[in-house]
Amino acid sequence: MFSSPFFWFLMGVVFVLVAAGARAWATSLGLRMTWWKWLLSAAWYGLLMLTVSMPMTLVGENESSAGMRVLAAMGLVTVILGVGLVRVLVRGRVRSA
Amino acid sequence: MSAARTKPRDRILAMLAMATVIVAWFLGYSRHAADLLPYLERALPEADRFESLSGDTWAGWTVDSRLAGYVQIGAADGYGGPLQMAVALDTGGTVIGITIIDQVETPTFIGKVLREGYPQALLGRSVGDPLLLGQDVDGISGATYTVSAMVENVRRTSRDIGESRLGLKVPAPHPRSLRFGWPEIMLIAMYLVGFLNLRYAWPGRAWLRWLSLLMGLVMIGFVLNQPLTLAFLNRLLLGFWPAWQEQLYWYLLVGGLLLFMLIDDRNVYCDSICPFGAAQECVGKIGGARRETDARVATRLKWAHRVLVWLAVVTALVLRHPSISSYEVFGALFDFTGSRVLFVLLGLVLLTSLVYRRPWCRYLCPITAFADLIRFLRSWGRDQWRRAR
Repeated sequence: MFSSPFFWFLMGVVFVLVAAGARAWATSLGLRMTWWKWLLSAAWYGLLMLTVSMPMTLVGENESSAGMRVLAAMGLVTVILGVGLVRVLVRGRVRSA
Repeated sequence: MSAARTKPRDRILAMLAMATVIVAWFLGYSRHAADLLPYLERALPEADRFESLSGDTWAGWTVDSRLAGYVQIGAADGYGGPLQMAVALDTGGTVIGITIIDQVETPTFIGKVLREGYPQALLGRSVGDPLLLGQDVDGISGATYTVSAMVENVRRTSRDIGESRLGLKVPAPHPRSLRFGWPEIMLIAMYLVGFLNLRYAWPGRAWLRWLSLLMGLVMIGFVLNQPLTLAFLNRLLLGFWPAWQEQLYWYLLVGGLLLFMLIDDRNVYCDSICPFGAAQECVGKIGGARRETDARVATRLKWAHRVLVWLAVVTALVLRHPSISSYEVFGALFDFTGSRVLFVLLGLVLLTSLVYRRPWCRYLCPITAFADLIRFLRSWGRDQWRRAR
């Protein structure tokens, strides 16, 4: 399934939708997004995906214990950096009347 | 606690805490007497009976009255305190048995060393071998002091038996070399810079403090993994003081905290050096930790903190094991070792640090509670002195 071109085509569609959705969300929240804010957001999103995919890969290879440890460690880092990212994004936010 | 807050209630509680600590010390001391015979038998199973030759050496005889070998009890300083072992030699001067009699190492450290096959890896060594860590014996990263104590024990006891009982020629005793390298120099520099920075106001004060904290986080935390812990303070109270030439770092770490607190009432370690304090402050910067605990809740938590630390100290003193009651999460963060509970606690502390400033230091850390007690006693003593004058 994962080696099928159709799967990767669908993944591409999902990524485009995520990017478009993020842009619409940022506008509706009144965030003043700059290129480096987008870069930080993309990097954090990448980290979030790794946080999910790495432990799941380990679980799939019958390494559940290691998977859970990686999930706990990376999950903690992702949450902490996520809070920092939110603080950066909402700085200078335009509030609607 | 300031001088104005040395209330009679606080003074009574401080006296009670110290009195129970002294009682716990004597309790632990009186119950600590090991029956050595099982350890001798385990070190030299071939022997049927043991003949005491001196206070710490035995000759082991077989059923047919043949000399099976000698066993000597020795102790050397590990990470938590003295590590006591029985070492057996055959009549040719080869180490044929080693048994740990008593140890007070941190469970994760000793577990790591045992899993690597120590002290049994030292079997088969001869009295003529150098037995030096890094030369003919491999060390174990993260448990150097524990392995070093085992090797030193075997080297000293085997050479003593070889020379005094077997009449063998042994290498000259290795002089205790002063271990004074970059960790010690760095620690002295950090304490001095931290103290001066706290003592004198200047424009770059905040930056220098951050630099010192980050250096503590990287070097004392991740590189050395040797922050100040409850085990260090328990060793001080138990009298398990290591040889200063070999563990000067220990003296500098504990001595620095006490020195600056006593001479100037400033906790330089917690403010500018502590690697876990730095980790919490970094997380706090990310989360913008500004929230303050409700005053009443804060007071209750503070007293719960003191009771927790008091219990941990009393337990360590009664069991004469400095690290038995250690509950710090430092190992989980800096070395990725520790129980599941400690990892969960670490996660909770770091998440709380996003909102509250240094929650571990305020409500859990044993060093803070110890520093509070010193500060209290200092101000009480100063009051008494002024009154007497």
